[in-house]
Amino acid sequence: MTALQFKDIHHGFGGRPVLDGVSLQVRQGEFVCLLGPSGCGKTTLLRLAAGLEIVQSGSIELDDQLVASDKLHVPPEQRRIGLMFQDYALFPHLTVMENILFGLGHGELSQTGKARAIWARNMLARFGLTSLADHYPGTLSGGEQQRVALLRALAPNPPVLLLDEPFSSLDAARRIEMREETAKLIREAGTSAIMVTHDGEEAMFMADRIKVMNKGRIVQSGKPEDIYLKPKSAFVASLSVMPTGFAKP
Amino acid sequence: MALTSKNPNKNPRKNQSGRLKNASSRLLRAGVSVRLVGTTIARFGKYFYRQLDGWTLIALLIALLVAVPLVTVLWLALSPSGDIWSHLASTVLPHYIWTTLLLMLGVGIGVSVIGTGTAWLTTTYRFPGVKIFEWALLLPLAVPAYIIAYIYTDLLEYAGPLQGALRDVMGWKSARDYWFPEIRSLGGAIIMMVLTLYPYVYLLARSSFLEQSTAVLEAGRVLGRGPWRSFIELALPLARPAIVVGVSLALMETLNDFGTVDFFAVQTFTAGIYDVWLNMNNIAGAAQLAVVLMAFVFALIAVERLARKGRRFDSVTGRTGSHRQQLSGWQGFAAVAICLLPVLLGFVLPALVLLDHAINFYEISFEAGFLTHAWNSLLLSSIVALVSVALGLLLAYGVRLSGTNVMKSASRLASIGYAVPGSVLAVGILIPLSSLDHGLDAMSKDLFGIGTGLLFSGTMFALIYGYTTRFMALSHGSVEAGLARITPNMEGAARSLGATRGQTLRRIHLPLLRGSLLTAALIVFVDSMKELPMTMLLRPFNFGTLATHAHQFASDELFEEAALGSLAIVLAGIIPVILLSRAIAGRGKGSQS
Amino acid sequence: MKSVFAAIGLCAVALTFVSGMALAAGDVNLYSYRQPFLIKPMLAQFTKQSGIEVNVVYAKKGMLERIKAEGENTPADAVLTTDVGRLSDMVDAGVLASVKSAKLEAAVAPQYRHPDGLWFALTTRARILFASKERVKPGEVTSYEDLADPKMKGRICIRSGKHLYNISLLASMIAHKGEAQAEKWLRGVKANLARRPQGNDRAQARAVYEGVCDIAIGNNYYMGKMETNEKKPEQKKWAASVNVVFPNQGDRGTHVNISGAAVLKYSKNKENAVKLLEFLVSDSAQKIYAEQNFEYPVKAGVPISPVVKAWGSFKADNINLALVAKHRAQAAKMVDRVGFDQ
Repeated sequence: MTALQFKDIHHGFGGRPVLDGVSLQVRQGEFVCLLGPSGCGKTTLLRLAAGLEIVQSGSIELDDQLVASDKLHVPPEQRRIGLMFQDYALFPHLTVMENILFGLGHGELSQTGKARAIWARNMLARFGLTSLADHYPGTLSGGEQQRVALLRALAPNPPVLLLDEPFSSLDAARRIEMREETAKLIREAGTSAIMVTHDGEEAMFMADRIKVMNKGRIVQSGKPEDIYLKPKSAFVASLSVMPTGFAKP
Repeated sequence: MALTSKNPNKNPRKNQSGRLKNASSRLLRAGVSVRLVGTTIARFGKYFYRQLDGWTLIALLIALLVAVPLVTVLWLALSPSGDIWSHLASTVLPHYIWTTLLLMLGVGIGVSVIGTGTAWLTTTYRFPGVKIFEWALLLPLAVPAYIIAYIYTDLLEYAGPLQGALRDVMGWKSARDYWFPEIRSLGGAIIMMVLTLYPYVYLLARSSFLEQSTAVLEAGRVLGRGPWRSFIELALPLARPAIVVGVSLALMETLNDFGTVDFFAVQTFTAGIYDVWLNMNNIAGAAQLAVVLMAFVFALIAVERLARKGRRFDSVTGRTGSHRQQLSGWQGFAAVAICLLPVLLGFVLPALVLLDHAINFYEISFEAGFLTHAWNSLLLSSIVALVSVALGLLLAYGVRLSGTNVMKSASRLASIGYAVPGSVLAVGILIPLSSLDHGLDAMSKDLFGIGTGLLFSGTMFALIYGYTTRFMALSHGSVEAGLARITPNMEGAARSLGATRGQTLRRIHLPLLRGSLLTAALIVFVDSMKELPMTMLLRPFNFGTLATHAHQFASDELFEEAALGSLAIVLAGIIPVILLSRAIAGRGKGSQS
Repeated sequence: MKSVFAAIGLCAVALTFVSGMALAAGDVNLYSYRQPFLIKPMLAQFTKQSGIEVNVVYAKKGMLERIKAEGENTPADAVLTTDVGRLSDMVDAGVLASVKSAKLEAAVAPQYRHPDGLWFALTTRARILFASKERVKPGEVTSYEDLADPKMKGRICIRSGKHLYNISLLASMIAHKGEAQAEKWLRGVKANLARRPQGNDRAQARAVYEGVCDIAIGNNYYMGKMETNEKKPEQKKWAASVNVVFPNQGDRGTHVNISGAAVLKYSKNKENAVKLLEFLVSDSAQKIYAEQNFEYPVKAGVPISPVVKAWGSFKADNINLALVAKHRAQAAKMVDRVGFDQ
């Protein structure tokens, strides 16, 4: 089954084309990485999927349901897609716990909501963040903020999670630790995911499938090893770096 | 349309149904034109069309409502005005323009230097009394410029205490024996306006300085910049958009001022508008001058927007008091003096003079319905503060959601009412409101045979509408600047977590905007307390405010009797000013808690 | 948040209707250019005598625009003004009603009312000279024309040339002597000014007292108000330092302006409005004008204030004021041309 599907998306800002006929499928439970240099349109693709941008041409389907085309625009709050921002966008006036519970509605929680709140508490404990539950985001470290943002996006149990350069503001050592943790958590949740990154090593490590983008087009797609071993162009080759622990045959 | 083109004489029961039909055809025509507008909007393209939802419509509606008076002034300007332009151009126009430019230049420089300087001192250093100066520096905002103009004229004139004392000491006999600067001059007007308007800059610069990350400034220091150079090279450029907003508000208020320049016989553009209107009985000419003024303000706003465009979203980190550097010795003394002077001259001294007059002339001025006027002022200003902040918020949020250029221009138009002289804007309110009333009246006569008379003109509604139009620049500007500081990702996060746009506004933006909203509400409140020309013209029968109470005496050359009303305006302004300062200080700390 | 908006909405609606309903039928609704505290005692007396309530809006700038915009639906019945110029603007705009009243016609001399009864003067005020007792010899200045004499160089103070009172004076000069002569006169006065035109009429007397200049131009009632000001005794000193001079007693007479009243065309309470006007020219109301505000009652035989009487009687310029008002725009442009205020 297809969790998320883009069909022939064209998009531009003020006459400048950003996406030029992108089609892309994410299967249930699959982890797809969009790999490309900055400005290649990856982030716009995520914003279109989330409903934060309005589709100009082409269509988007979620669970085989049309959610966006040039005639239809389902607002973001009705798509229930999880989205994690590069700058985390944590709400500075809410505590860590309030941030995580934000997507579960406010006031009286439903049965499932209560269950998810318990899940959130457990997750905080697992990351050793329980003591920070009542703190405000401004007082957290970068790694702590990243975890809170991830938990906030996963809390409503979204069928699809979109991650926009989630590790870019972390230092190198912390990045490796966090991506292992993140990958594990997402696979446990069984959520389909698209992650945007410009870091080939990161993509190789985390993805089931990689889509390499350049100048608004997908230039190659395939399994990490295919991308690495059989790059179709010098451009793709320049992006793929051998990830740590990835043995060259 | 076919219905209306039928010959009504063919209708055998013309008399009974005529009225109804007449009314229904009006409705029909209205319907047709609505549909026409609808299709026109649809032609903007399906892309825009899909964005034309409730929020955008609300924002568009608000922008239109606020623009109506300005459009009316434009419409007035379209009638022929005779040879007024050739007369003005060959006589006083160059002088008006030159004086106005000099006035704006003087006020602009004055408010920038005092506002930014005091804001920097109170956010960066510790010196005796700094906690008091933090809010006291805002107090002159509550003092109307024309009131301190009266006061300083009394103090500095030939017969005033200062020159009297000088003569006693120096043994001079008459005005011909010595030279003393003339207070009733362009320079005098600049000083009066600077003293009462610098708080706009202080307010905005201060909150901007408070939001700048201490780390940036410390980095500057480590890299070898002294405190002075880190101020010039780092803090100032970072705060520039805020300072520009403050200065442009002060300049708009300078442009619409009539009381001060009239009293000082300084001939500005605004004085010219009134002259053409009232002495030459040429409202079209006056409206044309007003349109030129608006165009000028539009340019001013464009400059301000350009300055704001350069502003990047910065995550608000803020700074804490603990990093402040202690000033001692002569430096501390100088800091105290710099902060004390504007407060002393702009507030303490005028308030004391007013208090003295108010006590001496208490009986005369208190009798004249004073308490009712005070109540009216408080009620009206509170309602206007709430309404204009609510509308300002909806407008700014709607523009942010739609992000189209049409909306941006509409919201820009909504802001220039502030620079138009109050009486001119009041006429712009009068005409459309009474047209609406006449329309309703005619419709009601058609339908029910009874007219409704005037429903809106000459009521509190007209006043609230007028004030809101006038002060939209203050509330919308403040909210817009606040919104710009919130990264759009915050919205995206909330939306993707299932919050609708309304919920996002309530749960994310409202709490984050608290400081900006409070600032907006309180500035509008203080300005509404001072408002005079619109109140005079738009008010209902037997209705007065503190400002009109003071004015009836002042206009009969009875400044002492006017003191009680003026003092009450000033005192009513103190409370919000203190609240405001607390809120801003709280915002600086908030993110650290 | 919603409840706050709802509360504001309710308040606004309630206020709209409350303020709309305050006007009962049978009242007189007045638009006034005169300050409320000046007319209150008179209106109170009117209500006491007639049982008719008077509602007032006091405004200056834009009153005519309000009347025009409200048109047929205007709630106002009558206007009070402090100058003939505003009245003639209203005549031109066609918003006034013609009133026939024997009482009004008997009380107000023909040159102080509109020929068709569109407006009536209530009081007259003279534009007089305040001449320094010390520095101006009696008989040295006897006319407005003398102010333009080069001998007066650096000795004259006046408020802004654009002020209503000065525009009216200049307009009368144009009416009498033609535009060219009037402009020559204005340039002459300008050349003689001791300082840039500024301040109000009282401030001119003060300037004479302070020695800034020797002769000032002002309305007669300010002199009365200064002379009797117990609360501000310094004003008594200003008044004591000058002599009152009524200019042009040898020829056309001293320029006078009027305060006046008119009934509006679309008044719904015309009868009551006429009653109010009749009351305002009655002996008792005219006495209040004379005694409290030091103006000259328009009705013959009403005693003037003893303070005003002490300055002596004078010959007023009898030119038709409606004619003077016609030259106002010309006068305003002349002030620009001469650069009088610069």
